[in-house]
Amino acid sequence: MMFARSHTDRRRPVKRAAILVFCVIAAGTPFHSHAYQQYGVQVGNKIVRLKWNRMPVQYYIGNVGIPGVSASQVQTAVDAAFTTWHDVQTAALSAQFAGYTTAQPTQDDGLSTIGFLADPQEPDVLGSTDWLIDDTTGEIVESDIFFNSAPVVPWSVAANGESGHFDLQSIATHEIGHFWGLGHSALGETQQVTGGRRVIARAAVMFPIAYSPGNILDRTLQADDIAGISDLYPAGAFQSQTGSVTGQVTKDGKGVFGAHVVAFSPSAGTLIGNFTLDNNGAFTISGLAPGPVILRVEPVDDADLDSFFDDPSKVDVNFTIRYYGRFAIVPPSGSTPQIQIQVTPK
Amino acid sequence: MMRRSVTAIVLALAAVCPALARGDGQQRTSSLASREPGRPGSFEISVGAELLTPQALGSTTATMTSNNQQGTSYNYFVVGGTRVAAPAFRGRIGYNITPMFTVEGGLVVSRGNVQGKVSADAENAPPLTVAERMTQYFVDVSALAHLRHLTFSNGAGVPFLEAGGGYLRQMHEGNLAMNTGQIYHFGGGVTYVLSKRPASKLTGIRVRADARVYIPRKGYSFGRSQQVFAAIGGSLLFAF
Repeated sequence: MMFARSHTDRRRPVKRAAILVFCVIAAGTPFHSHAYQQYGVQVGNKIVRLKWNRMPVQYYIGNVGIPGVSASQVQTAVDAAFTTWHDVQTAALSAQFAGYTTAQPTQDDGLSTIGFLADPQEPDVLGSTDWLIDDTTGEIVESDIFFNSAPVVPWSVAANGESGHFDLQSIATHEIGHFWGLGHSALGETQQVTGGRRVIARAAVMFPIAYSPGNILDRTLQADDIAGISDLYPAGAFQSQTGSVTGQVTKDGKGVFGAHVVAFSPSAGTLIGNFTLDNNGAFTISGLAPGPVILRVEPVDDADLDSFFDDPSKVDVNFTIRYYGRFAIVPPSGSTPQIQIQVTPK
Repeated sequence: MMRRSVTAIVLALAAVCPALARGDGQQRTSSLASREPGRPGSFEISVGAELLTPQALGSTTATMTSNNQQGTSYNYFVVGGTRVAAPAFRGRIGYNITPMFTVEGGLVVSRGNVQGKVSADAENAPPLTVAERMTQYFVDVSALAHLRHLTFSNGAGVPFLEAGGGYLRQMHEGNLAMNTGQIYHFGGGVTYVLSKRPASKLTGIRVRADARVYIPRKGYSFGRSQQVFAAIGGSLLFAF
């Protein structure tokens, strides 16, 4: 069995765009953005989705606290975050606290370790997740999460949040999404501010830039997160009661790579997004409520491109926002016919 | 004045109990008259068309969660929905319980466009109307009360009132997805005798014009549960 780390240098995370950035280290060679909130890993000639194959997954909590947050409080916050994902009825997930460890969440030791780690060089990074992968199967065999304990990052475990402090449970919920194999969602609006970007609004816990300190909204999953985790670990009625949209985004007759496609169901009121992920501009959005949806295509412009893609140079952001001119009709347990959406250059 | 009221009373009696008005010594006529359209125990079949008026499907907003403590809604874009006016085919089978009351079972099939007007985009994308074609089926049961005291044209025209309810099935474009619900209606109209053939199996042909108000429950909408709409229609009614 061969293992491959998901990155070549974990001390230099790729995601560092703004002061409120969540961080996921996913830039290693074997990785490709595969589906909207998921990663693919090359196994032989094919790309398989990055996921755990054996449940329950055991995790350890680093026994190092920081001033104001003890190791046991970390465990409480992390347990609550795992429970949030576990409670998704259309996903089959199971994780188990296995104990405290002196291991750091950087070691390839077979233990999935979650805890604080100081990274003062990256004060804009709140947390980071990486995986150890069996590259013969694509299966995750270990995943570590660290929360940045550099003194400049204020943390809180207060039940209702704490002004000026980042809510550990909220950040853990985001990182645990990565732990399970989800990537970033682009469902958010930001504005450029000095030193980076500030979130205006978001529709996914897995958006790469965090809410402002004191905010606890990321303790609750949104439709996009639920669709992503259910698509990766389907359970219950997910496959029979949801459907997908498939199509292609083109510009001047050629496929657009990296366009952000959002599906909105007027009857269900849900927003779920994905990207065009090949040079033909093909996209698929899964986990949609059956019925008509409105499709909106936009360039990725609310976070750094490397939050979403291995190779940002391939991403086309030179086009204007476009709505598809008809409702796309999502069938239950099936997919729409191929939908063609043409965008125009800015 | 007095004479007119007496006539009206006699007509009303005749409608309720035709045999009383015929008198004795008219056995042959009476036998034929008993096969008049609308007689108790007789059936009627009608086919025709309706025009469904536009139906508001409500309005909804695609929202994100704002970056504040309360997590207030941030409007991404707004969609307002309408099912535009649509023609419909309808067929009904009625059973006359009494000359005054009929029960009907019916089917209405309609195909029409659903439009969604997208506006107020957070990033100023231009407004757009998106559309799809939806097929609707109403399978319903109605009770009709014939207002025989308000007949006109020597009894050829008979107003009626109706009310009922049934099953609603809506198939979206390509028959890929559907919504179901209930649909209730009330309304009224008139029937007018075109032909009487008391001696044959087909005892009469009438034309029927009516107006209905439909009240759907569930079915496809953008967040509202009830969107009332109306229909006007006409049909040919064959009495047996």
